[in-house]
Amino acid sequence: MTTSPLPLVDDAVTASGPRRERERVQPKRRPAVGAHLLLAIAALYFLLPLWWLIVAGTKSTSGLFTGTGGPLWFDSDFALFENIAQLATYNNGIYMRWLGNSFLYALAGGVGATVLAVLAGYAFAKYRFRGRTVSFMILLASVMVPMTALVIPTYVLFNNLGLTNTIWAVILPSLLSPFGVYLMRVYIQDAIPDELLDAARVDGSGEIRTFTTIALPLMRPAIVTVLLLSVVGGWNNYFLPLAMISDQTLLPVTVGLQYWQVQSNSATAGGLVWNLVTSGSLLSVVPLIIAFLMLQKYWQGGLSLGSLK
Amino acid sequence: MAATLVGCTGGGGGGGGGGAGASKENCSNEIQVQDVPVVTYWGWNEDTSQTVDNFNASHDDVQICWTNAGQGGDAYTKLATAIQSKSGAPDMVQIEYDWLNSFIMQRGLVDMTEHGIEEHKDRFTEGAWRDVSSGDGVFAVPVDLGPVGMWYRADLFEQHGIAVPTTWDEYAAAAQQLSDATGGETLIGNFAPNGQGQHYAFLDQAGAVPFDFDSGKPEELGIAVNDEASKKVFSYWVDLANKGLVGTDQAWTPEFNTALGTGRYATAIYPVWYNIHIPSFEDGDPNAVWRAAPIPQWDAASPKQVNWGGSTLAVTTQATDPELATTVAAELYEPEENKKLGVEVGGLFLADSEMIESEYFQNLEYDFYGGQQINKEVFGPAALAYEGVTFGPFTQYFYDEMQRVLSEAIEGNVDASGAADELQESLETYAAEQGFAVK
Repeated sequence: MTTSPLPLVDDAVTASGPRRERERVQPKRRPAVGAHLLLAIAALYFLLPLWWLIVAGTKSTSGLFTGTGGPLWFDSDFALFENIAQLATYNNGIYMRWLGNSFLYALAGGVGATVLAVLAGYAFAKYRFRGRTVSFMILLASVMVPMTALVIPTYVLFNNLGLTNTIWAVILPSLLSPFGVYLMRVYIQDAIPDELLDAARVDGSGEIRTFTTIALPLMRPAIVTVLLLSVVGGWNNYFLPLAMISDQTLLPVTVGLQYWQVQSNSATAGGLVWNLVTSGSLLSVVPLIIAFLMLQKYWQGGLSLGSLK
Repeated sequence: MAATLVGCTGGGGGGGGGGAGASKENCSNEIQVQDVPVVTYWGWNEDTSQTVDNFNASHDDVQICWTNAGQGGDAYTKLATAIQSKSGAPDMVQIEYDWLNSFIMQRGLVDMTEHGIEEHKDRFTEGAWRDVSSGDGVFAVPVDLGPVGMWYRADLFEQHGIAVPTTWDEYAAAAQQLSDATGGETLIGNFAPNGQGQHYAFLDQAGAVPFDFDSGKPEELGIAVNDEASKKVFSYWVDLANKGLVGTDQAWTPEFNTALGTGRYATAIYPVWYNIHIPSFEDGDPNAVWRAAPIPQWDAASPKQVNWGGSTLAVTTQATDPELATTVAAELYEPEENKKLGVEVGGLFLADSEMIESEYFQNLEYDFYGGQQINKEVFGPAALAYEGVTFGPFTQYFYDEMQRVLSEAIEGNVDASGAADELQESLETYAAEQGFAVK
């Protein structure tokens, strides 16, 4: 496969031995300027909104709309700390409550989903049981169903159980992560040889011990990946808590910020809080950025996991 | 204007679940009288926490359990979810006028005429009452309105010696003059492809009747968005946009707010509630002098006033006691004290005729607008003259499609008349898909 338009130059040369040699050599000689340019544009494309958010988070409401710096530079009035102070106090500091809820939903949902995914993935990968293929097909199919489509049935279910407008309405559905199970299965299949488990069994290790002392340590990269994916998914969850939660004190930060944004759009008196929407959004992505940077190597490993098979 | 922050009692959450018949929901307010029926309420007004407290303090036979469950499109999605699920909706809910029919269609709202709402009819303006009525039914109690006027930069008009327009012809002429005088630096205004409620008001003003819908015959629907009146409106604005005489920023974006704040636009055709927004852009041009004037007319001899926004209190079909909830909806903003809270804390323009005509309200002076008595001069007469409209039963789809065809027209892919035809066809197809017999 040639990756650059260069071979066009060779059209004059007949397709014979020498040409094939050149094709192999040329890409090495020429630096991939085009690819780098493309990547630079892509990076800019992804970083620009983040930059906008950082800048906007430091502005007062009037700075946002009529500030001196324009949309992509800081205003002369650097209001980040005023904004944070206002975030901590506006509506009795409900923003901090929202942040706390987001932590709870993301961690409880993320850890729970990871535990279930590890157990189920291990079972799918290493045990033969009746209905395994069928259950795994169903699991794969459910990966394809977007979470949003399930919200209304889930809502009806939880409503009948009397659990809407409680934290369980957000946490329980987050525990199920078909994609996590799929990732775990694929990883375990490759990373843990059957022979290793057989050897453990021959040596007299029980199934539980084999799993905890032999299999589990080997799975660590995949566990961290699934944990991160589900925690991030839980943190960014929007539609489920929107439908399930009516009590403002139980909202996660995603839905709370949207409340403020709409409130600012259609504001009646005292409701214009654009500066809180931007600075609140900025603060709410900080935990994710920290988690990302700290666990970067696991992410990189994890991203290619699913592509193996 | 009092713009004090209202301390939501959100943190406490203590009250709920107390009284008999109380719902499982947590209230944002405290239930003051135990062991009486409780009406659950989703609402978002800034004054609500105080208004509800007042109501509860003055009633020992019923209490309101209030929650701010959000507002706007996503909040309606949430309400629709609860309605389709047959449970989870509150007894009473705040809904904007243009969304009522969507929920009537889903059989989500109670017809209040069965519970004696008619005795309250005289309290409200004619237009507001028409907007909550459908066929013979009345599906909500009006709370506030958004009579539309023209906010304008008095300093810019004066500086360039241009008269403030009172008709759309004058408006177009002034657009040309302003552009000529400033080399295109200052435009008369903006035409937002996502204008939604604004466009509906424009259509209404020109005499178009986009939807013909009657809750008594919910399977039939009339659609007319490509008649002469509609095309006149679309052509007028698309033409100004194509000549570069108005901007085409999307509404509710920083771009539009910035443009308005820095003197790019000399007018904004917006409702009374926009008076709260404009001061937040004032740093962009400290010399800006904003005033309000009546909306320009097509025919100065027979002026027509229009409305954009405002909201209502509706009772859902899931209400434990629809009769009681209807009474609460009718009485929440009935006492003088609560009306004043609505005006001063909530910044509401109440749909209450008595309030609109009162000395108190007429004489309110708005500092940012040079002390102008905007209610007396502009918005009061507009609200009283507003006759009401009929909204369609699929608001979201209509707004989305209107935005799409107007964007195409502004980009020049289709002319305004073609855009109107396209919109008509799209709405008819959609209505048929939804099972309506299109009249």
